[in-house]
Amino acid sequence: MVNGECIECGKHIDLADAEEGELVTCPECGTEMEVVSLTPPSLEPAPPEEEDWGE
Amino acid sequence: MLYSIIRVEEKLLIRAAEKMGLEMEKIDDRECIFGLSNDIWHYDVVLERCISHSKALYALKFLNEYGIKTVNTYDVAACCGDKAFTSIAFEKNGIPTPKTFVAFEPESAIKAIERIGYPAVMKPVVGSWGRLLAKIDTRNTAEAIIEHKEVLGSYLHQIYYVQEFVDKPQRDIRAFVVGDETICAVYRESAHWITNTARGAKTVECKVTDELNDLCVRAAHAVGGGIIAVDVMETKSGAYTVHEANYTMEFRNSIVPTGIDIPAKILEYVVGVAKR
Repeated sequence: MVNGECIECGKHIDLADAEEGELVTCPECGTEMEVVSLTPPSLEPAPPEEEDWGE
Repeated sequence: MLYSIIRVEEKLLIRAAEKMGLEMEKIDDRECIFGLSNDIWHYDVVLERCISHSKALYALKFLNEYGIKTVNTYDVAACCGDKAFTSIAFEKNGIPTPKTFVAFEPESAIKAIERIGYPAVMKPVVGSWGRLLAKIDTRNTAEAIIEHKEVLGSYLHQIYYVQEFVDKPQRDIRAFVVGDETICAVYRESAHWITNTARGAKTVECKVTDELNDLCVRAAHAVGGGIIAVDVMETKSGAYTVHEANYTMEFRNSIVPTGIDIPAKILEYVVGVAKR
């Protein structure tokens, strides 16, 4: 079981199926974070949206 | 797969690749280095999934110059990533598209809007997810929006892209073209005139008729072809008009309503490109 911790509210976040570089959202407080590492699990604030982002 | 951040779509592509037994390497665009000659990049094909249009453009330019196959290509990204270039490609290839003008100064932007007539729509030439779109109903509104755009940061906000407003039936169509086929389509339904799913529109399956398939494939080919999401509006007269083509399409909300395994279809196409 790989767990991370929300950087805002501290809630445990299940990272068992996560990928490094993945965007995850805290189910408790809605904070968006990036999984920067799985070994050890580490979450950082998601990069802020930029003007040329899109599809 | 070149990416900026792993969103739902990239995760689905990774899982689909695993299921299909494909060897896929994740390449974070924040870690990339491109030299004028290539001694770094050695891949059969690169699936470009950057979230940043600017980074995608430069990466694709280098990769294509190195002779590395990409999906999509630099030319397709350059065309789809700029709404003015997309409109030119549609017009040149006989794809029905709303009346459009481009102007560079506030006074000429007003003239362009009034050539179209109110209401008109102003869009940033580069941008996505329905951001910073404006429906302009009066001259006063036009002047206010243009004044605001004059002071926005990016110089691209002073490329005024003005389009006829299409009074559509509270929905538009997002069609997914892979190569020479429209693999599926959804209606994006919203009471708001902006029908992007990023702005809350709901997706419902849209049956792909021969007419819709033909139009969307032609529209995708008009911008260079590959894997393209084509946005289509239905006019009051029942005709279709195509307003956008997206080269790094998001599809998370379209798999369930259509029942189509979009990531698998994308990867099948990418493998095909690698084998060419």
